[in-house]
Amino acid sequence: MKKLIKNFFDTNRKHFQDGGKLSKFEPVFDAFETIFFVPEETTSGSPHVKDSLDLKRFMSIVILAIVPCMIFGMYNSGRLSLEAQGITPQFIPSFIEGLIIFLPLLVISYGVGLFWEGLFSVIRGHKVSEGFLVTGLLYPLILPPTMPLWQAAVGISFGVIIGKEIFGGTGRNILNPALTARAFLFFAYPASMSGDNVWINNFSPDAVTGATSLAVCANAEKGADITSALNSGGYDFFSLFMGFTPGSIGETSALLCLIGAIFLIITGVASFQTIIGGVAGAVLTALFLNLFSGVSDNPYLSLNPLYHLVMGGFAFGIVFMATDPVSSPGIRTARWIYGFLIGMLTILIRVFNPAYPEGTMLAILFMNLFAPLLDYYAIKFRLKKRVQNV
Amino acid sequence: MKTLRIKKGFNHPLSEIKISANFETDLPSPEKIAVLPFVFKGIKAKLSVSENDFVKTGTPLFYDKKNPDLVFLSPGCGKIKTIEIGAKRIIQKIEIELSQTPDFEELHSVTESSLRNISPDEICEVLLKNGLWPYFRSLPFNTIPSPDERPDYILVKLSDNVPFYPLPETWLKHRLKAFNHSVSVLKKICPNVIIYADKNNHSIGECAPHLNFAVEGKYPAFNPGSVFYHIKDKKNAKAWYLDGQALINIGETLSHGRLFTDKTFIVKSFDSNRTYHVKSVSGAPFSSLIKNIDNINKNHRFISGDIFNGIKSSKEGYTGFYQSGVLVLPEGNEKEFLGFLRPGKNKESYSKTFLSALLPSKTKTNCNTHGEKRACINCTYCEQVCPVDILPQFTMKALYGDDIESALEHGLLDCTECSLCSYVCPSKISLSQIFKEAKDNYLKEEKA
Repeated sequence: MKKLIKNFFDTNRKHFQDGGKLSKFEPVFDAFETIFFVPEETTSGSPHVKDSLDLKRFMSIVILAIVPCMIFGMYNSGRLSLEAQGITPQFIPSFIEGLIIFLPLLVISYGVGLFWEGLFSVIRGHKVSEGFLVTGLLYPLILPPTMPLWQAAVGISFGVIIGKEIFGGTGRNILNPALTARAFLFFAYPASMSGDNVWINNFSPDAVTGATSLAVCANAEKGADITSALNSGGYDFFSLFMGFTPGSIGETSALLCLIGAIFLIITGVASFQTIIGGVAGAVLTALFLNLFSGVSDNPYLSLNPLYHLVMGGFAFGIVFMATDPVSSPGIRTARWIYGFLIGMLTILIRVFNPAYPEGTMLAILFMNLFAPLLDYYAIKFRLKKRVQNV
Repeated sequence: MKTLRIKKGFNHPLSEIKISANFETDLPSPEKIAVLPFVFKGIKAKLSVSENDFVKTGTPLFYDKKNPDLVFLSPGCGKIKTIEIGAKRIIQKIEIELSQTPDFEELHSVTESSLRNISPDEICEVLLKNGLWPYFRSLPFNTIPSPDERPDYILVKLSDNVPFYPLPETWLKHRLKAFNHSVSVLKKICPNVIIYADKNNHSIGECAPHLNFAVEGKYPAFNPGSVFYHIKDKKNAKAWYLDGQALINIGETLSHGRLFTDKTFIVKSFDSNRTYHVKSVSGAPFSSLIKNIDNINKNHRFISGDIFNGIKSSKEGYTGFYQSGVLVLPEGNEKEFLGFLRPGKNKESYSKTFLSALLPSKTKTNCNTHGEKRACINCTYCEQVCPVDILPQFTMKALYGDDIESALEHGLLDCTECSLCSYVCPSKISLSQIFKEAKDNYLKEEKA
């Protein structure tokens, strides 16, 4: 097997090298070859040794952390779809139904995204970066299961081109590409994306529930008790935490996001500053708003902060989206503030902006824009402490 | 004695290997030795000998074009066999075929009693004439200081935790007299002589009372640049540094009036997987230090120095003037099948993304880059390990945009050139190389 693949690459390499017929497509050839083989390149001078970690491994670790959310997301959207058709959801059929919903979205995401990625690499003559492997997996997970495929394709095209490639590709983008793609869909096709719509495949009007927990909160009557409104909609804390609720495909289970977060923090791939800062920001803001629950009749003000953490896409966003190192600040102290403000903005958007039931996406994109500013001041602060040489 | 704790850094798995003070004596004595003038940074070597000349130990071989007083003496006695000149007419190697009977050039001696009536300038002159000046290097450019410059500090390193560095007990034994003499000479030049070592892990015996600092911390805590960064308190402070072995040689040379070039090497061969010390001389060839060198297969790299900053050489190569380690490392120039998907039981990494994070001692080291170069993704690993609190990724980006002012403000000149940032970078960016080049360019501009 190994020999067969090696022979394949060895015999075809000449076409892609300088002077070969397909030399323009060298980046594509290289991308495929390096998936199978780590190059034989050695260090040229000091340091003579290098860390075994490369971007492929780095990104694989993120993907590994997302996989539980993905599998559960498939099962959950399949289960809800079967339920909506009036079929009692068994485990295996639910899973197959979920596969039918999710797989086309995943194929579209990777196919269209990698096409653009490859095209830009070929034109610019640089290597295909691994960053898209994560973007391409995250993107379908933050879409509702009812998303039309052509819209998904348009969205990921926008995300890759405008969100990343025009800035120079992975490492140089300002915004998180997956969220840029989603934000584009959110504003371009609000009918498929806005949170108060029903997000269950094959949903029939006879079925009782279907609105997401965020929509329940946003549409709660003035002065109502929001926790009981949630509970009567079938959203008690436990089910929200476990994730057996409607929502975007991968985002519903706070438990699996927590497991992913622990894995990412232990491996050191995601910065715990962002995650803990984000949770602290959300909890403290929600607690602060709780103080005003008597003043206004906005029922959202009185919601227990813990509900905010498990509802909607907050957990998924803060663990997998906000921790994207490229669009985060590059200084770890600044990441505390960055995370905190994401948490705070999420809650503020949820509570005070009835037009956008979900605040996480916009909060992260907004803070992506502020990351360079946070860096600027964090650096200034650090340089003050230095004994200068010149 | 104070303790200096340096928090940041990274201990490479190889530095966990316990070294004992064992000597290997069953080795051929060197037939040839060599001086590698390119290792002396910031000088332009001008030859004062030519091929086939006969030189004694201590005969001047070459001098610096800008400071003719700065001379470099022959470490051995014999006939000059070849002088190799490389690109840009930089002298690469002066090879000396050793003669059977050693002969020494008479040098100035300074005894303990005469030291009292001697002025700092006179001492410096003696050090220059005796060819001992090149032992000093000045921060931040690691160049040989110019003869009229005087430092605020002189740092003396007795031990190090870089893989691999000779244990102090192997070369410090019975050398207390030379050590003391040398320290009093240095104190004439500059009262702030700072002697530091890892007191917990290395035995420094009788020299212990001289220690100013017991340094603790991960690699590169013992790098003079790193130590100086943590003790300097004013702008533009100047520091020189030298090795403990250099200190002994200065002391011996001055008290006996003839050049001492003894050097204890530590040899680590991954081919035979052995670690041992060898007593030899400066400029010794690898063939006189490595056992069964002819049987080592081609896929090995010969390094004079350590795994981070050593000089890449070949089987026929020679050791550098400042380097006291000799390494034979596997090249690792093979394609690894599905490398990034493997659990990585024996992969070394700063991160914890491989199984080896649980069993660090099982890792295997080679010279493969383990991946392709990519754009910086802001992972902050370089900042996490930088011992002198530079923000390497931002400094690198500043230099990428030719913004030297910002880079200097970020502390470019504090860079210890420890290469850790290049080591940990998952995008395989040669950060330390970029910093080194920027520093060298800055030095050129500043001098011009």
